[in-house]
Amino acid sequence: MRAVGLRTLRGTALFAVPLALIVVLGDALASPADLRVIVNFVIALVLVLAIQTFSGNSGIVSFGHVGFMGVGAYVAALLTIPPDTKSDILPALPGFLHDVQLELVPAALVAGGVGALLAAAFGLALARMQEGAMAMATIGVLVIFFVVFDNWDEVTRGATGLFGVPQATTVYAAFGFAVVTLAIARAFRESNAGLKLRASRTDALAAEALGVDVVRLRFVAWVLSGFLMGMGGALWAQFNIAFGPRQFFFAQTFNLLAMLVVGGLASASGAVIGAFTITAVFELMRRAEERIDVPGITQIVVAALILVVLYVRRDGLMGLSELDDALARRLRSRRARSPTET
Amino acid sequence: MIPLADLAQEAIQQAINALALGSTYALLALGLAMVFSILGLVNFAHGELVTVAAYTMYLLNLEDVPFAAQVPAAIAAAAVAAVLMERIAFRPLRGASFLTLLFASFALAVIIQNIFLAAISPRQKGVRLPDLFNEAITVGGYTIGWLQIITTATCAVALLVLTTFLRRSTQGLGMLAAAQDFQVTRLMGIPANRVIATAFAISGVLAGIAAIFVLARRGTVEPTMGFNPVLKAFIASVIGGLGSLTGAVVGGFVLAAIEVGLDASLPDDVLGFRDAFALAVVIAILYFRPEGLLGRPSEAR
Repeated sequence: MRAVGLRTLRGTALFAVPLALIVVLGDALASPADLRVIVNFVIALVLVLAIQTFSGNSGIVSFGHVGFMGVGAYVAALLTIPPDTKSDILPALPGFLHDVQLELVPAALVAGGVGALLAAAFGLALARMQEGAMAMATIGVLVIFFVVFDNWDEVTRGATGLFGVPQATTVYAAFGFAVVTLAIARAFRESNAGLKLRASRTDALAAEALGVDVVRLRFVAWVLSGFLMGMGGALWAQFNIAFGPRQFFFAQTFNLLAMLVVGGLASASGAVIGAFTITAVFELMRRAEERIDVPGITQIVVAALILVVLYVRRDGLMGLSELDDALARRLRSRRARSPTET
Repeated sequence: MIPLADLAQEAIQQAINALALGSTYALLALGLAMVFSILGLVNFAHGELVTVAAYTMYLLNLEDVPFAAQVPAAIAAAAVAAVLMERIAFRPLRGASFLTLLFASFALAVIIQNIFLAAISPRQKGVRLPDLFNEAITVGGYTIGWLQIITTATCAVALLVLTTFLRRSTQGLGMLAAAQDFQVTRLMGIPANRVIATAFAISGVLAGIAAIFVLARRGTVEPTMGFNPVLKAFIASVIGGLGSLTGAVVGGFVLAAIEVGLDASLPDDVLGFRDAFALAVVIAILYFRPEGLLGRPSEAR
């Protein structure tokens, strides 16, 4: 157990420190537009790590997680929009939802809870499936949520979307959530359950033969990541303040999965590095697009980048191990080689 | 007694609708399953084959090429696109994990969509189609659209031709064997590249045929138009059992039956939620049969 704590701490700190630097410097020096990019990057970290908690450990890609993000966003919006605004835009809302108004953290926790609950409902059926079929069924999850967001006018205002969410997610709040999510993702990965699940990723049959309850562990990871995703969605909603169902569909899924796959699905470090890389590429391209003026060029470049990464490094930039583990290994082998040490 | 007869008539009418819709789904799912059973690749860009075929028809339409010439051109375009896809994007990744392949095809789909978006237009464009597609005939009290008849008949012929090819030709038998166990098939001297290229070509032809009916239903082309078809194909092949060719066809008809059944039975004010209900039914089916209706149990892999 000590090793779990140590590695979680080590892995979290390794990224928390540079992240803190970005956040503090950004807050002090960046223009409002650049600060927005930084906050959205930090929120994306929470979302990508949430997906990584399930997909990275189980090896099953999920297209459905953005649905839980949407759930978190809508729940947070309903819990934080001032009652006066709700009277205007959501007159049909039931009384208790109309009157309630929560702060950032409780709203995010409730959103996470609802995300976990819905994840559990779907997970009962999904976790029993083979990996390929499960991955494809998660697309069904995404579509189900989208259809509900798009049509449930009384609660989501359908395609029009919601507005008036107080902008409670500051850059420091986002940072706090990201560090906590990183720690949770890492702790789960290093835990007994995480280790067994990763074994099933390599070979599900062999893991089962050794007594690993693959279905149960997939379910647990799925629900945990549903919680984190709902929380991340709440964070996102309370920064972007107005949104509609389109924001929780394929484009968003593509962006988040691109981060995960480019960085390397197998590790939390990969999620962080992927989020950073894709954000950087997106920003560069966005600036370039103003001059090139070819619509869709950003998406083409990002998708091509993914293909190139997959050709060169099939397991993403980080490969299969955590950055701190890889560094520690390198340090050990250098020490072993240096004559002064022996 | 009369309401019962009405009910029976309604059921038959809906069954006809489901048959036509299911035909399109079956063609799409079969193409997907063909590639999956051999390569283990779930081709997300399968929907973009539909887009390629539909845009081919759109472009030929602008040049006033007759419809009878548009159809073979569209099917050929989809087949060529499928083979190119394999050659350029998937061959370098042969043997990669399920996830890597799936994501590569996802990225490829995004690239193709955006090429159409940049080269033609992000907006919907109308395509003129033969008037026959909008006409219907009445047989013994049932209204049947010509489009439904043509869809069902074309699908039946396509399935028949494909089955004959797979069962009767050496190449076809090689493909069936490869779908069962690709490694052993290669050891038997069946060239891998040819089997794979043929699988992609077939999936392209099937997608091209389906594209005509997809286009006839919606009447417009759009860069993202491949999404809905590929989604239906995914769901259908999962219902039927991923990797089973027969299962893909069965799954296509089952999905269509669910959708048409919901269309007929859901009250108007929740009809917007139809796809959510349909997918919930599918997930419920998968809860009881995680391997799909005709899927192989996991130990067999």
